[in-house]
Amino acid sequence: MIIKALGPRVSSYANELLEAPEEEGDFDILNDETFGDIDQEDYDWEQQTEKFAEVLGTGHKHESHNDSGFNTAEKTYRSQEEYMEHSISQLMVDEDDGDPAILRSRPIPRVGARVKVKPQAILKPHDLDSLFGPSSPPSLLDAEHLISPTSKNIWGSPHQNQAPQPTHFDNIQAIFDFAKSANSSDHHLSHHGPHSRAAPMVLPKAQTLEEIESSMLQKPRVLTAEELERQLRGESSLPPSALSSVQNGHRVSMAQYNVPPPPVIGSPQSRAMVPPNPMPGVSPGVPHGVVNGHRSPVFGGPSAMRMSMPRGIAPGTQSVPISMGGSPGKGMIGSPMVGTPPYRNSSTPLSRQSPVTPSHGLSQPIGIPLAMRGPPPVGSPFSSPQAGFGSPQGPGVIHPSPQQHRMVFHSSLNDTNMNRNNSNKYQQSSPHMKGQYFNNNNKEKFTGRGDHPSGGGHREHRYYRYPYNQKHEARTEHSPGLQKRDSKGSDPYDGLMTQRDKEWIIKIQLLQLQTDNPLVDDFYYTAWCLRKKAREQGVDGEGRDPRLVIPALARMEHKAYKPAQFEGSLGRLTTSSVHNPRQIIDLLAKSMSEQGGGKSKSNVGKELRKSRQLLMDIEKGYNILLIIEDLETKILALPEDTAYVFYAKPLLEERSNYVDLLFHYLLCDGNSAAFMQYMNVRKGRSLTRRALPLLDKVQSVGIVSLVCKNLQQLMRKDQGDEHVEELFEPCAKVIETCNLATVVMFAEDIQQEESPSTTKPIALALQNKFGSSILCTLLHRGEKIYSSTSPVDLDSSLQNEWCEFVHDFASIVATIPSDSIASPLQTHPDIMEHLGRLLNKRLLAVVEDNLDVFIQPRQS
Amino acid sequence: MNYLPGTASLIEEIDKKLLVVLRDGRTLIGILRSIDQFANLVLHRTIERIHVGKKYGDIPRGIFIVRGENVVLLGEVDIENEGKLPLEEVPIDDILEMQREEQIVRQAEEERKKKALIDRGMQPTTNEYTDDMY
Repeated sequence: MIIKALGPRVSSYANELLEAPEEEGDFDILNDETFGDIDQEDYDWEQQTEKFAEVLGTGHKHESHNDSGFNTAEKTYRSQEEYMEHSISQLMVDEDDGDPAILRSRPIPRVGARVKVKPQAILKPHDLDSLFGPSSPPSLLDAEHLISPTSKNIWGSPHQNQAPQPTHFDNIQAIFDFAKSANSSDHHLSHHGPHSRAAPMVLPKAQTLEEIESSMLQKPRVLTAEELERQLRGESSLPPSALSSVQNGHRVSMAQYNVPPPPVIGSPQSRAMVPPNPMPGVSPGVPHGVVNGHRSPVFGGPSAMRMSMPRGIAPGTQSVPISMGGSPGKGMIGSPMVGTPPYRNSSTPLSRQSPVTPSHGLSQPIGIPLAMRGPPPVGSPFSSPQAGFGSPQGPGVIHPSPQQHRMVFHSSLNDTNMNRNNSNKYQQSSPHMKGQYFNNNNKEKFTGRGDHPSGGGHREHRYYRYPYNQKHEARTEHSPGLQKRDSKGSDPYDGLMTQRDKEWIIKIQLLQLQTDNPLVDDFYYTAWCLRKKAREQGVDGEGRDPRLVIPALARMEHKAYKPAQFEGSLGRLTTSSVHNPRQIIDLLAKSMSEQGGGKSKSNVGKELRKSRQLLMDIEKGYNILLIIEDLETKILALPEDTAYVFYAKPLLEERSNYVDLLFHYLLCDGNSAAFMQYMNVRKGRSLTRRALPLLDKVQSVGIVSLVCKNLQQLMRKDQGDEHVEELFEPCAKVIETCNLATVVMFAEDIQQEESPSTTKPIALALQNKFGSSILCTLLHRGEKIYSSTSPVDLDSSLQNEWCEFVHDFASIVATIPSDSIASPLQTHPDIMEHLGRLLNKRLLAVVEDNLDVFIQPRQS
Repeated sequence: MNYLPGTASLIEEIDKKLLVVLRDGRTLIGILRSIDQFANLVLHRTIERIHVGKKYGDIPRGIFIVRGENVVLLGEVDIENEGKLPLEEVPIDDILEMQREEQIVRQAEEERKKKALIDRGMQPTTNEYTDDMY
């Protein structure tokens, strides 16, 4: 029954719209085709209408097609308010997690489009926000908010995020007002759908003001804070000029904005502050906080004071009458400010922090969307309390003392040239750099600030205190005569870009900096941070950067984004955003196995094809390896707290899956030949090398066994120093952890390899660095086992086999000329002992000389 | 830099005198007044400086708005040492003349290279789409 709520006139338009009235009259509008099964609910609209008509006074029914809808609409609204609210809230079916880009912003109304109301729809109270806020789909299509910082923007300009929220009441009212103005003023706006939001940019007319006034007056019970506000304003009485100068929409809103400054505590203070700062060029009646629509920092006093009070306090402190009535418009006249865009004035009202926001008269239509906006997306940086030039109502993290501190400082400034240079002075007059205009000092301050432990990373950035390091006298060099300077040497054109503008840009930039995977997107910085942390903490395990962790976690919490769905709408409304672009084509990711299979056989020779295929296979294996390593890094980056388990589990599972995959891939089902193919390629070897530490015990044993089985081949291929030796270390590590059975197995593997020449495998192995290293390690391990376990535990058969191996080894060592023995990469002196254990004295003596190679530490 | 170390932002360069090099090779020197998220620049009291060899000439231009994508690099001008350039300033007309001559020389060179390529049977590469200097 929205149609009714919006005014009977609408129904007549709907009539025209549908163009298919079978019979004249209201009844036809509700044809089932378009509007569904309203009859099912047994809702007697006629009866309802009559009831309303009674309530609202007779005669409205027959006026229904003629009046502008204003009068009736308003009154019907009042009586139907709850119903309206209910029905609106039912428009949205479900609140999902939502697109993060959207969620960060606040909703705006999209009443222009007509939606069918299904009372049975699932209702959630906060759906209103998602429905009517900037996150609502149509509003996303409107790029206007991106155009300028002073227009409405989804980034959540720092000004309107503090409206205390009996919000959805505000929203309803605001929505409705907006809807009414849209409907009554310009019907075709409603056709624009998403772009009906453009309507509020066009400034409101008289009726809107009246509407809002009346609605304000009518609804005291809803908003306590606003109520008080209004009362106040009622008492202080809006300046008649403001009300009457409707034609000057901008100015009026400005005026109203100026009028009710601090219903907040601190206004006595602020008022006290104000008198000592008579500003030349501004009429004394002007609220001092305003110059040309900009709140200069000096007069950031009142606003700063405002800001410094928590919202909750505001309603309670209405005792201070507003003294700043005056002639609000004057502040804008006669200012030397160059080219202040008028619309900026009108939007500054919206920067008001607290309950004032929705109750601004003319600004309300504009303010509606903003009123519902939440805190800026990356709210934290802007929640620092610094009231910058032009935007003293920055986001409202409250730090009273710096505010007041700065305030005091400002008031002590007796700078006559307030207009432009305020920013300069202000920025310089941070508590850190009081009254210092300097050049090179800035750099120090800069870096100092960078390291300044300002309450957590980027949260309290001092960005607006950018170094102001221009020596003003030097400026004359380049354009003599073009500059006008005052005695202090500051540039009158400084500060063209207001603090608010800067904040806006910084906000965008911060948003762009957020990443899911900092190690990938921002590797160098991340690595640097990690290293720095490690340095600070000493050697404390992994240098985990807490800042790294947080974004990672934040991303992990998002489930797959499901676009918003609307129940009861015709067709499937789709929305798109940064995170959820429109899907135009369905592309399937090609699976890995398909790659490399498409080579044309004619062009490429078989051999070439094979080698390419081999390379592709190795690539695949490598990809798996890299994925595993990434997962490991992610796991390591997780914080060590209770949440760790929660987050680590899926990652660990994934990791083990991949590890298995990798193992199977490498193993090639035990096919030695295939394995050797990989080993022949250098990359394959490095793959194996990197993979070995990741595999579990069984898997790694398998791989090492493969290596041993193909030792000779490996050694042969190693002619050109192709880094087979790299393989040694991981293999050695594996061997070090093996039991006797495994070691014996390895030994056998080595011995059982088919040797093309008559030389025994061991002999061959001895002549190669890698081989001898392996042998050495094996023996060493054997010794370790023997020395650590009692003979009882060792399986006798194994012992026998091992003994045999050692004998073989010794005999070969004895026979080989010592020169041809390659020195192993790792020597173990205890081999001597081992041999002594197992061999008899005679053999030992023979072998001893040649054993030096194995025993003496490498002299390299 | 302040709000997030490891980044650079033009915010800090506002109201500073900067030297901006554009993609078409022009050099502008002006005070940066305003920026936006695309790094579009508003330069105030801009002069265009033309360099030819060791000489340069300035053309006062006023207010420039530069589209962000056309900026190659920019840097802060050292006010103190601004006057101590090893270069010689010449009047504008002279420098324009010199620039024209330089352009002629460069084009002649280009022509020569083209011809040489064609003589050897190769196609000369045309940079139609990249008219930029950089």
